[in-house]
Amino acid sequence: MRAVVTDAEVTLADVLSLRLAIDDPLTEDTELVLRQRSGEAECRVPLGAPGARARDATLAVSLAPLALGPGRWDAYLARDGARTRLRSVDPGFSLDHLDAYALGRRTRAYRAYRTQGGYLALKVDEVRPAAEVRAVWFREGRFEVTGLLAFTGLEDDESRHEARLALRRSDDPDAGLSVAATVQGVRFHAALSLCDVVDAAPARPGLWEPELEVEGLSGPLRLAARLDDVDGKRRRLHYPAARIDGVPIKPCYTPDDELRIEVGA
Amino acid sequence: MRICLLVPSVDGMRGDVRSVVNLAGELAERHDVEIVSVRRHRDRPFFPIRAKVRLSWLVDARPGVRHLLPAGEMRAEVALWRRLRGLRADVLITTRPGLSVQAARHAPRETVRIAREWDRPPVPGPIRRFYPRLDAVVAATESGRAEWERLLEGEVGVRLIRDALPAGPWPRSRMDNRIVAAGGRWVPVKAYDRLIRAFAVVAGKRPDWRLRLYGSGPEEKRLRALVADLHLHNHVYFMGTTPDLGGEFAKASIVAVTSRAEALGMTVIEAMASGVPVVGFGGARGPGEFVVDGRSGVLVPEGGDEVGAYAAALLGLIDDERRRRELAAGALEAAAGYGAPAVAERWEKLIAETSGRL
Repeated sequence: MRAVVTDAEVTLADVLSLRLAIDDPLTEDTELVLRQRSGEAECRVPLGAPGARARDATLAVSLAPLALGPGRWDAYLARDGARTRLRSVDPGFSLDHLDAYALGRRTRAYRAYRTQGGYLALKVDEVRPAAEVRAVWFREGRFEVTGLLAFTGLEDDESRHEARLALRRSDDPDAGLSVAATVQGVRFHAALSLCDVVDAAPARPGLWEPELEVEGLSGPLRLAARLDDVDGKRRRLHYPAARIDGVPIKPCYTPDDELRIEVGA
Repeated sequence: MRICLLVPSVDGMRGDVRSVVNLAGELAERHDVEIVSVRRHRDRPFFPIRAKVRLSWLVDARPGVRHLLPAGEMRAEVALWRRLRGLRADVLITTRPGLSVQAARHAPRETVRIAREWDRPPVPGPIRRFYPRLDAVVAATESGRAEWERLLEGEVGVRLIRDALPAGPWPRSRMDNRIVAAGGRWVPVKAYDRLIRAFAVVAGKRPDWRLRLYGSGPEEKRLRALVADLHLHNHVYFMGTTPDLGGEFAKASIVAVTSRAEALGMTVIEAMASGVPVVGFGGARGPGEFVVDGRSGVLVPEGGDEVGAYAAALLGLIDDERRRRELAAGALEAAAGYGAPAVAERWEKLIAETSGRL
């Protein structure tokens, strides 16, 4: 049985919507099987009786009731005991759609994608509200960052929210500084003087962790860049360094794509 | 039929390796296929090779491996000579002029010997002397075929057979991401600096578009410095290598090829098969061998303000989604001729004609 996914997407309502090109029409006992890549967990979804015998099939599977754990899940089509891994020709997502998906307040995010081997898979992540970084600049002695708020549930409108960008150090709980930031709808922009960063802890080099505190949200938002298919931004994006009074300052990413500001060393 | 493909190294991330791996995979459906790699550099080849294809190496050049003979050309030549003398194959396809000359000299006469050529002919002396012993020469592009025919003056038949894409289904772009992609080794001949300079113009006018560079190579440091100089650090992603370039191209809306000479053009073919239009330079031996301007991509003339013209071509496509989609449809149509089954069939036909077998 040959089955190729020609269209795949996780909709805003967490429904996995698939269009399949198949050699043999789907039958009543066909199941969609999702299998966790690391581990034995498996989830079987009966697809029900098809309305007509056709070489094209459209499937819609609601993901929330399946209680899939975080990780990557491979998709199979099972019939009469035989299992076929679903090939895919569709990338499985568009970046604009991922932005729209992140507007809702969520604790679990699903993304369909095509594996390097050409198969359909599903990525499930535990998420919490975050500030998604889109651009970082050093301009006129200041560090500027812009992006959008993800998974906060705020409306994407023109309304302004009070916000502050705070810098903290994990190795020194006393050190810190904070400046006012702009949040309009879900877009944010913040700028802080590099001299202030250097003055805040002049003695030792170290990593600053930026956080965005937005009025009306329960906790501070970590600055990260995760709303796309590019993992490992530390390697792929190199930001320029600035030098203030001989101290080098450079933004960088952690291995799990959170933004840090490296001062000294 | 036993078919042996002889390559300098099957481990690297190069278009010619990709082409050989794809062809071998398809031929292995019906024949006994072996890829013989003169050198072995890594534990596993970069591109995945189908299980039906046998793989062997002549010289293990992985770090830490000890040898009887001293390092260098000598060791490889002795190993190659021994292998060719004892070759038990019906067909031998060699993929470099250096290897083809050795095959002509040492491989058994009953073996059908075919030279696969991508580049223009190098030093003509040994080629004029030994190539007439071969059964055929196969070029990958029309201009390559003409050049080899001129050099060999009819002493051996020169054919044109295109490179093979992997067996389908190929990934298909939705054309909805604001991404320009480029792939290949980061070496000077690929002229990525031209692309980055042109993209600086694009990013100034359309700041929500991103450039993704796939590959690796010695130019990386220089290209990263250029990105920093042009303040493009938010726009240019150095994505690294991937064995699934077609899948990555399918996430983009435009594929940029700025090479000064694209003798091989596997990236161009893969981009077209992913349904993404290619923007390239129209010089001799460039992507023009594969792309028809206005049908399956856009070709920009070289010389003068070429960077400005290239940026204008990118912006023209970025701003005209309808044209982008038309070109994508044309690209898909053009890629159909590079499917592995069709290409393998042409090889089989050629082997049958030259040997009288099959």
